[in-house]
Amino acid sequence: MKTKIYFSLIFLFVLTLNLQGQNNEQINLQVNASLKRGISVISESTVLDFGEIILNNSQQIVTKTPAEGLRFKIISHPEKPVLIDYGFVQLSSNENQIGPTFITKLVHTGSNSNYIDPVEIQPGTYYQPQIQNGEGILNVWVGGSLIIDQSNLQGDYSGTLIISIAY
Amino acid sequence: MKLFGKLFTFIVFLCSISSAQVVSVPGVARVNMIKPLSITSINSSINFGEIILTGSAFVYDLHPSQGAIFRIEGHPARNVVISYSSTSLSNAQWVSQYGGTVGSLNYSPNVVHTGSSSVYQSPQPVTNGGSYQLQEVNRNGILYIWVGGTLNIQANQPIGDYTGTFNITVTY
Repeated sequence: MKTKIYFSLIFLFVLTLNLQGQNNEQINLQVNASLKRGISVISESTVLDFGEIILNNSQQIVTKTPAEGLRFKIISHPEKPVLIDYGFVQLSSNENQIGPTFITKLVHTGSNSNYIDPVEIQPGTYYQPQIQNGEGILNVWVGGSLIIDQSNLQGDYSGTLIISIAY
Repeated sequence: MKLFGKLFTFIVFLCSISSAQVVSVPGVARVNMIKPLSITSINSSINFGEIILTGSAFVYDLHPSQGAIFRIEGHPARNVVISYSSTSLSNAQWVSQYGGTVGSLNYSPNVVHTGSSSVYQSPQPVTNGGSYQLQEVNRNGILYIWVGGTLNIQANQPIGDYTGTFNITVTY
């Protein structure tokens, strides 16, 4: 009887040691991903038309304020600045005749679609869109000056204004 | 003389009784002292960084060498079972701050180990629930685990900062 008890105790002892030999460790780590909205642009109008200009024998500068020009709306990720860049435009005729030069002027009114408190946009500069319903909004207005040299000939002239917007 | 004989017999009887109560049990006390397991994270998070949505569904992959690194330390040459699971990320906290739509994002981990090397070389895949041997370095068992993974981004995935918790367990 005592022998059985001794063996049982030894068995329990060995069993206990085996149980203590098991070990379990756990660690948690945060997973992060920041999904940004791709930039999109909605143009309210696409042509900045200076209409008819009567030439004279001297240089002329014809200006349209941004309020009179084009408006487009940038929709982007909130709190993420956008880089806006643009340059001047050399207009030309259908016959590839070099025409006047257009000097671009851009302003923005934040999320306001009315022309209130415009802020001038310098080319190659980051601007912060304003948060509206989980999106970043920037209303941009395009005006500028047409510089007509006295050597420019009569005719219809056009050019493409490229405004690039990037994160 | 007769009395002496009886007394001798009685003493022998007593001795036989007492010797019958001494039980000799052959037993060996053994113990295998095992180093405790530990797992530490070298990075503070698994960070996918900024992902620009395109309007189309796509899978974004984070290579294990650019993800999180864990160091498992334990008994040399002993096998450990490594367990982990997929997890769901949410942008709810971001939406509460900026507005928009609450969404979820499924994260599928991609786990490899580089043995005792803390440098990403000759990675071996680590499957969930698989058993892997700790490699001996200065009487320690070491295993470096690297965790990358993929995010399945839907075409209409709501924007925002998504967070979730990745859990990894090691067991002897």
